[in-house]
Amino acid sequence: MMSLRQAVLILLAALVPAGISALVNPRRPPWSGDALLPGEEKLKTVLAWGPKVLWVDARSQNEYEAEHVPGAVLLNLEDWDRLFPRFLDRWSPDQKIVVYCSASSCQLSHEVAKRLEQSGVSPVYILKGGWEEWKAAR
Amino acid sequence: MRKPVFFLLLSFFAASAYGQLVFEQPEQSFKAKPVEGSIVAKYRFTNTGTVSVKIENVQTSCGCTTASLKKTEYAPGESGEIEARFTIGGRIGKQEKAILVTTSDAREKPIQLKLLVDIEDQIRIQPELVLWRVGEQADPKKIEVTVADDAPVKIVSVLSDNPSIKAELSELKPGKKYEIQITPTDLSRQGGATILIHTDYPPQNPQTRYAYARIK
Amino acid sequence: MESGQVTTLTRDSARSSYARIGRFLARLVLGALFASAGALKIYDPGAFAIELERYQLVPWKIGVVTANYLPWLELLTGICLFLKWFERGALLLVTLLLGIFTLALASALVRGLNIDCGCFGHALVSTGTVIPILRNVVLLLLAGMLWTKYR
Repeated sequence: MMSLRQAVLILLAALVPAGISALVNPRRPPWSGDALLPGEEKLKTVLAWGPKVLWVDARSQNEYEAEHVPGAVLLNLEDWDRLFPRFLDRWSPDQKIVVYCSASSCQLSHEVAKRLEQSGVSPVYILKGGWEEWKAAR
Repeated sequence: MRKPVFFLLLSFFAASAYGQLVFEQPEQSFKAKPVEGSIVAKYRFTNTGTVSVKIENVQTSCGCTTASLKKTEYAPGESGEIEARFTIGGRIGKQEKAILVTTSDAREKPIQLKLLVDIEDQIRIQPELVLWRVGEQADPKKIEVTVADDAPVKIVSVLSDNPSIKAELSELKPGKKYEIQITPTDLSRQGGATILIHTDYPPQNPQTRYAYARIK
Repeated sequence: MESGQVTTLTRDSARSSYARIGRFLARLVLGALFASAGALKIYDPGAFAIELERYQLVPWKIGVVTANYLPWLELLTGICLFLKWFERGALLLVTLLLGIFTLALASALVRGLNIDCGCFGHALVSTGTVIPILRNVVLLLLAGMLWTKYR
């Protein structure tokens, strides 16, 4: 059928620019879906760090009070002025800070991590998968 | 012969809409200054269906945003408005908040309204935190405070809530650039202070910003 | 008898010229829409791959291949349709693609997918899913109009 033959021609023609883009486009997606964004760490890695981890919960007060990673300190942008000094009281520069929010699609952990780094606190990491990832491993 | 059938099909698909409430502007953007306190966004909607619709729940993604409605039931053709108030709090930069509206005609598919606010940072405190380690030399550290060009704000005074950590304000560029010198007196043990930075704006309720000193 | 035949022919050609104009417009609209949809996605395939992941229909690696290939396919198909090159093939592809997109959107709607932020948990569908479905249905009808040429 003519329509089928023509369709196949177009399908094949599109392969050429697509292939080139897949190789050189600066915004091409990474082949591995597991790729960590800058600052992110997998739960397994974080757990291996042991007791020198300070967990930071970037979610709302309600979500934190419902349940959170044991020992985590609440720090969100909403209430930054009230919560940051409390975080500072708990923090020690020898600790590795790991920030989490609800899931991998949630941006809050990235925002809180950025603000922490801007204020001079480091090193700051973000838990890939967030609270969902933690719960799944329990 | 074919035309009427075409239009019949078209109207069939148009009528089976997801829910009868249609919002004029489900996504709204604002620019704000922290001193404004809060932003109010009004989401107008109309019941375009053939039956009455009840708004059963309006939920916001955070405590900083509250939403209110004058009434919950809307007849066909009736319009209404959801008012969302976003409290700026300590936030700066681009904020995105969501408001979920659950209606009686589509309970499993709530409508999501978005409120985007870009908050200008009028006062920049860099760095927010100064740190000394125990046993270190008690060298003073500096915090730079910059006021945005068009902001009618001045830094009036600074105060440390811990007398053993001193804070001194000096004006580098009148009204625009300031420097706070923080000097600890005892670095033999851990401690800290909150530095209160008093401004003169707005005149009826001047803002206080914060910086932090810690000895760890 | 002669005059009767003439009248019938005039009526038919009037109706068929409406159909011709309709098909002409449908071809331009579909072609332009597809080409521009493709062009927009060509710029940032990474963002498109992340969008695809949210629909959770295919594994990540297949999403990467799709994100790289699909925009170019859309662009070429749209251009072909617009310029009447390989028109039948382009129309076949447009119809197939619209069908697939609509099914994907409908599946997201039915599963109540968590397409935006994870903050709300499940059963969250933004108004951004339903309107594209309706739009695709209208586009499919336009494509249907174009197919009538080949009856």
